[in-house]
Amino acid sequence: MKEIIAKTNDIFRKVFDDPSLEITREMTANDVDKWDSLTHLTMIAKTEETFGIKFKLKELVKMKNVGDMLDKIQEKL
Amino acid sequence: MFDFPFIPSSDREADALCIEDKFYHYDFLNNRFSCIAQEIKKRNLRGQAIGLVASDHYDTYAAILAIWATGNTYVPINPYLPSDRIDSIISQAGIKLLMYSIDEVKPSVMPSEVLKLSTMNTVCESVQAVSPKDDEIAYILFTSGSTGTPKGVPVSYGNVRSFLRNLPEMDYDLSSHDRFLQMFDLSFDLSIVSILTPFLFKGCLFTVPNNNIKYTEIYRLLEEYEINFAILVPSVVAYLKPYFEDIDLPHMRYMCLSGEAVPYDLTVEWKKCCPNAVFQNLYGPSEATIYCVTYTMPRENIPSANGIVCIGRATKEIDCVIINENNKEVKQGEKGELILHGKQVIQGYLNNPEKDKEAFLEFNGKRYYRSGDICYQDENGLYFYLGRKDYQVKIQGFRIELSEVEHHISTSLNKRRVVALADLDKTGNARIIGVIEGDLEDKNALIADLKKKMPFYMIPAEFRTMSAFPLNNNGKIDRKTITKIQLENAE
Repeated sequence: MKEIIAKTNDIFRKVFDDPSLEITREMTANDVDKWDSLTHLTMIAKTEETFGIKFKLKELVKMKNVGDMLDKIQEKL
Repeated sequence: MFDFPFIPSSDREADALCIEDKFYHYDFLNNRFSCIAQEIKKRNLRGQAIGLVASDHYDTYAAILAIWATGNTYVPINPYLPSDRIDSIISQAGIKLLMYSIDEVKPSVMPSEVLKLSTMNTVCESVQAVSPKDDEIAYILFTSGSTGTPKGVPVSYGNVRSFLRNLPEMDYDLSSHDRFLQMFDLSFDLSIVSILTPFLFKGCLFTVPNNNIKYTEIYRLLEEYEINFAILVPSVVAYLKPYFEDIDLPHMRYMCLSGEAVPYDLTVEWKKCCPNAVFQNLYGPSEATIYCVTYTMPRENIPSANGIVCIGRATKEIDCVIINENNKEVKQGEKGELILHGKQVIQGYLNNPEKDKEAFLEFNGKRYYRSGDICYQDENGLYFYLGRKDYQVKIQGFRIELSEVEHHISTSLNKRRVVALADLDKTGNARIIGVIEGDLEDKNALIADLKKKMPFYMIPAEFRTMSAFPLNNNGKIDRKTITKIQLENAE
């Protein structure tokens, strides 16, 4: 899980253009300034590419925060 | 025929609202409506502007109906708006009473009365709806204004009644069993029809929470609750495009696309996800009350021009004409500006005679509104939208004057020269690029300053710099060349 968190943190910093961003399990789109529909799409694409996985729309809908996404990534690896 | 204003149903069994997966019956909505209407009546308000902080809460919806049923003017105020903008709306609209539920706003000058809706009585006697005259104002929405001040669009009770007289002709087979999506920000007039339609048909309205990523939540609601009627902006559909293969919405019966040009390719693909739905394109500026040209698309061979789906024909009480630069009607098939006349068209902007002069014209002895949209009409009488005449763009359906964006950036940067361009992002949705002459030392400080003046959707997605702007032969900033240089160099 540590590696997943570190890699995801890197993705978030790049996509949301904030080098000091630290992800937390409870974090949602409302906590990050540039996290909107378009950057969300980019973040998902980068995550899929980095981990070599693919999310289904139904899975994306169920993810309520960063923690849910980290768990889903782990499940798919 | 539908009355306006009206009292919501008091059915104890039927669902009226679903907010964050919680259902509220019509008798609950009706009681909240009565309590709010009583509070308004207690203050002897009639024909007055009432500000309502737009929250994703049942009292917001009950209050809108109560403001109308007491014959007042509904003015939505978004809590996320910068305080300068809220101040401007409150002062321009002359708001007498400000109501709120869960989100508060802190304008620099508070209206004389403020009412927290949750502190009201919980059981109230029913009220009768008054019948405002056609020229009284039902709501005022504020859109981007080119000088940096939001522009008020007052829509009268008569305008809304004229709009509603079209509903029977839309041939909607809808009833209390149907489920309706309301995805719009309340400052956007498609929210008005997304609220009126479910309550008039006594169906259930599903709200979309005000969070940053709406499209996944919209999909969840459509799928999980088997929504039958939805008005969507095409940009939301575009975000869902990578997942079209996974999407199957057989319960969707009316899929209305509106608020932006409707892309043909996207529509054809989206239709496969909603195999049983009637698809409609609803066109119209806020100044002509929600929509005034409509098109029910055929199952196949949808007519389009330049990749944009046909907008169809004028509604019953609207007269459309296409004119050239000399204000003369063009021949059928020729392009020009679409102008609109009829009972859906507003009388004029809020205290803005200068803007009225620009936006309205006398034509054949009647008053027409200039849509600013370039259109043509084909041999079958169908209208097609081709693009904008001016520097107005739509971002997620919000109408934005690029000159207002330029004005605010320039002011923040000590009157530097700025050009705002509209471009498409990788999903095909519109975005704004701010081009600044000279260096931009502190982008984050600029963005922070802009956030105090403009809503989030007006802030450019990207900033670029040019050492010097090219000028055209008249010595003006050559926007065409800047557009070419900047957009051809895009990623």
